[in-house]
Amino acid sequence: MGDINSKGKKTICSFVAIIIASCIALSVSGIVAGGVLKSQQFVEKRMLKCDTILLDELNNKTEEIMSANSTFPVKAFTDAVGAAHVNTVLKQVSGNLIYGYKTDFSKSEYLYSYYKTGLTSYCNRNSIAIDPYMEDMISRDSSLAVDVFNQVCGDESTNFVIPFQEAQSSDPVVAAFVCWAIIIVCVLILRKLNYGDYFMYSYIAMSFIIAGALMIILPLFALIMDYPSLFNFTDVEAYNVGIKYCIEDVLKILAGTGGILALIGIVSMNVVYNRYCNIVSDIQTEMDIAEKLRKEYMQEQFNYEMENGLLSEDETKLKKANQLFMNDIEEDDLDDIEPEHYKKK
Amino acid sequence: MNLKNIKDNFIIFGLVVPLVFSLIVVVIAYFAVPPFIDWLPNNKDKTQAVLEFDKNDYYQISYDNFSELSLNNFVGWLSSDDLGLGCAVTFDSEKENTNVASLSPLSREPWINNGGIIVTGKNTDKTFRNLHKAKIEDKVTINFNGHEAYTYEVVEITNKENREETYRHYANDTLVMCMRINDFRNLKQDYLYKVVVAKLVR
Repeated sequence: MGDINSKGKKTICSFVAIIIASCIALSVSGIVAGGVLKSQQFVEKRMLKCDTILLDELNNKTEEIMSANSTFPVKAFTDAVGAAHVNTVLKQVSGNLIYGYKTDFSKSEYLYSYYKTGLTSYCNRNSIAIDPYMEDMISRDSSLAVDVFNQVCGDESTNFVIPFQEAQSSDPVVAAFVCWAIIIVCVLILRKLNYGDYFMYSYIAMSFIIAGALMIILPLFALIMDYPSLFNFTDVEAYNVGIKYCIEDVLKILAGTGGILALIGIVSMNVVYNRYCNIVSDIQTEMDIAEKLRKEYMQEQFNYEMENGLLSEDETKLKKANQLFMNDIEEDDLDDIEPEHYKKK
Repeated sequence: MNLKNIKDNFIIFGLVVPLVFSLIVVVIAYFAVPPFIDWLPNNKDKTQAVLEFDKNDYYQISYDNFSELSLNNFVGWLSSDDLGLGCAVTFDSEKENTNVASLSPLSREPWINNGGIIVTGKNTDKTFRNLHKAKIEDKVTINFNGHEAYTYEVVEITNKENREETYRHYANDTLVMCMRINDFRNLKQDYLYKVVVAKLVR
């Protein structure tokens, strides 16, 4: 597999680590976003923030149409169906978005009865006699008011809003399985490419850091660029705003999850770094001791030979020069020694 | 390898590579995300006109008079850029559970004695729901199968009419578009109608 420090192998390992990071980011994002968007409580909470937008839209449309087509004042209609009904609608729409149903109030008997009751109350409050003609007027205008309500709040496109439909489908789970299969293969490749486990762990830690960085930076980038407001999944402005809130909050959750992944990566990298430093430090200590012993032995040997007159003048000079040379190269020698190399010895 | 080299390596692994890769992805996202959002099939203006259609999707016979047509035969394609409309018109199919508009048997051929047309549609996205947005002077076109296209201009919009009342709008060179609104007053599932009257543009 070549030298552990070879640039080619480092590049391959970094590339494999990036693949692992992409798979981690994809699988975690898919599972987290899918799980969150499946929650009716989560979606409802965001949709209910749009109640005033929807109510204003409804009141404006009611005024526009009923003022021209009804003998009753607009207030009689707006009093009949108000904020509470709009909140109920938004809860229903949340369910429709999640489970993929059309939103249609054109045949809602409940709404009809709300409007009819409201108009009847208006007549009673204003001492208007409800004769058969007036009753027919109330019923007809209530029918028309239901249609106005349906124009504003009804929307067939709630049956297929891609983020919610994808969350409901098995796609995120399947994608996660595929990603984790790729991750296992990549880890095996890293293991094969790195004799010492510590390099492999550092690449895996790097994958987590990259995945975390991606999951932090990309959602924040999307939020800064205001991409969620580009979505226009339904015909109703209030629903689009509600969906935008959902997507924004999902992005924030993903950024938070990315933070956790990055933290795991940083902690792992730190552990690997410390462990690696300890090993190198141990090796250096052992080598220093060995070198010290060798020098002491050589010195003793030299002293013995000198004392006993066993060396000529030239040999004495040569031995001293050798000692100086060995002292010069020992630092370079240490740099080339790897933990694994040392372990094999 | 000394400790300084190890530290440098870990800084590259833990900081430089993740940041550089993330920045590359952000640059790619900057160029790729807006087209991707546009490409999403459901993420477009749902009020746009449907001008392309395949008449082979409908049961069609060639005709010169509407009297030659029978139930559900393809009459033509009604569309409007102004209203964002686009739907098939079939003969006398009001009671059918299909996403088409129905040509009333009372209609007469525009190419014979300037006949008037009455078309009834449901309050659904694929048929007449966008009639709610109709304004005076909006243009509506009908491509009659085997005949030329006729363009009409909206001149009158009324609400809450019953079926009989819609007929009074019938006149030569006129297109009467009726959208059904549920009438809760009786149990026969009768309808109120929003009526949009358009005159032939010559």
